[in-house]
Amino acid sequence: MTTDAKPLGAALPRRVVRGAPWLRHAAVPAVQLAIAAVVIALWQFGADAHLVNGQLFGTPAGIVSAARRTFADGSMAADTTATVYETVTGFVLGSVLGSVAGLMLWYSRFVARVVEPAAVAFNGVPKIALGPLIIIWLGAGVESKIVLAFVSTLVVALLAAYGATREVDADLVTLLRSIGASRWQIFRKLLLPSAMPFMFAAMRINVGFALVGAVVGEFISSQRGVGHAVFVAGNLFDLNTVWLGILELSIVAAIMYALLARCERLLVKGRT
Amino acid sequence: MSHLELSGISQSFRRADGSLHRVLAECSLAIERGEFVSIVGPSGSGKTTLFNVIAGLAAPQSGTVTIGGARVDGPSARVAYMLQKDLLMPWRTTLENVTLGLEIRGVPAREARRRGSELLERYGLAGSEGLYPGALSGGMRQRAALVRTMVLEPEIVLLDEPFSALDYQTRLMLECDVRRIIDERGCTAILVTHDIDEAVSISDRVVVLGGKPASVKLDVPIELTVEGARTPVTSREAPEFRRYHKAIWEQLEVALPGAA
Ligand SMILES: Nc1ncnc2c1ncn2[C@@H]1O[C@H](COP(=O)(O)OP(=O)(O)OP(=O)(O)O)[C@@H](O)[C@H]1O
Ligand SMILES: [Mg+2]
Repeated sequence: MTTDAKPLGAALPRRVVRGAPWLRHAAVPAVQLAIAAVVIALWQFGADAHLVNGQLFGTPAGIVSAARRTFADGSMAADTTATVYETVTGFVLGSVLGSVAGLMLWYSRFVARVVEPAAVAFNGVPKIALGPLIIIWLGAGVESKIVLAFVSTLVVALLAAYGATREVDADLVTLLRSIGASRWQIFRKLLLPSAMPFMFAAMRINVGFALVGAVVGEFISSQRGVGHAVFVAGNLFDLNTVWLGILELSIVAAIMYALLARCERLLVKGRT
Repeated sequence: MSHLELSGISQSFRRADGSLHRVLAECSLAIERGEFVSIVGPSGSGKTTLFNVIAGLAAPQSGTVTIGGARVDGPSARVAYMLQKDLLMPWRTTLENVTLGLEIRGVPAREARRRGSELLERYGLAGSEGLYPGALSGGMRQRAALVRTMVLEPEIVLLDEPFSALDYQTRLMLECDVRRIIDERGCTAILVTHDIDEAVSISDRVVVLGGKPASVKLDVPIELTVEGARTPVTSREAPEFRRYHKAIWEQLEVALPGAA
């Protein structure tokens, strides 16, 4: 059995691109790198020529030296580890528990009707507003940031999973029932796989939300984390360190997206 | 004793305003083993409702369904249901879609795969086992849905407008295949369709549902004189074809412009 066979359409090129295959694959990143290089060069040149105020905007060279410094004194590793730990833990807990709860609502219409309005209302609350409460309750350590990342992702995951169960074709449920499927089998063979793409879509959004939750928590009160470093540097007008933090956060987000995309390819089949 | 007996089936649904919407009233029908019966009737006359009762998915308000003398009170392995939409799961390959029912019934995976591939091959889908439904044509998809139905080895096959989304040629071809396959396996079949030509050409008997609430208004055996074997294609050439068509058409109370 060939489970990894692609739909025929996927094998066909969308449009004819001239040139060798490696050239086609390399073209996009090459152009992206070139644009980045030009921007960085112009920025540095502008600062050196006093066309751009290096104090107000930072400079590429300054960012590099900030990176060197924080790397050498170990604060880069400590801060990114803390932020990644808070973000990933909150994200995983929020996504898993939210998705499970959302799927479970399919089992009970009654509970779903009780929970849904509350979930929708809570979804509209900027979770940052909960920051002071959570920090008062849990302190300035990592726990409060994990909980902030968790509450930032939970309801998005829950509503997406629950929404997905309601998108399921009622005729497919009829078909499975006519074959004699139990409710659990309908859940396993129909609900779960058909909700999968929706749950991944929610997780893509939640990568950003989890980061916001953790970083804002660090802004409010913390001893460690990229958010903490950015907050402190911002107060000192050390723009280079602020840029460095932003760069670190984007790298963390990019890695999380890439890992997520890999999981999605493994778990979501037969769709293009 | 007939293979499938419906006696006095009535069914109603409660409307949003609380009033009762009577859909079926006292429908009785006896279908013999190996018979191919079509049910035609206006949209909303309760054909799908009747199928749901036969499949054991909904209990009728009153009346009984028996299969081989045994009363139906829930989904049964003796009945398989095929709907208008192919309902293939996009995340399963053709073969995995076909073996879905066997999986649910607890048939070991290897055995299920063996039976699935064998039928796919027999019914003209060799080579598409590993393809996802997105890569199949409409006709192939409906054919895969047919294999998914037949691999369960049902005694009774319920076909709820399975051809209506197909183009004319694919449809004729699939009609012929379905009739042949049903006969080969000795199944009893009931087909719901809006297409009178289809009903007359494929069936041994046509039942018209009508009225509000609906009941059996006409029940005609179809006897056609054809040269050679009778298939849905050759049936259309039979001299009696138009007469049956007309008799059924008249029962359908189709409100035509100018036919006040
Ligand atoms: N579960 C239900 N709850 C309430 N009303 C229902 C339900 N199922 C069917 N009905 C109603 O019963 C009537 C008959 O529906 P049914 O689907 O059986 O018609 P049908 O003959 O199959 O029509 P079509 O040819 O359009 O498929 C319709 O008016 C429909 O609204
Ligand atoms: Mg119907």
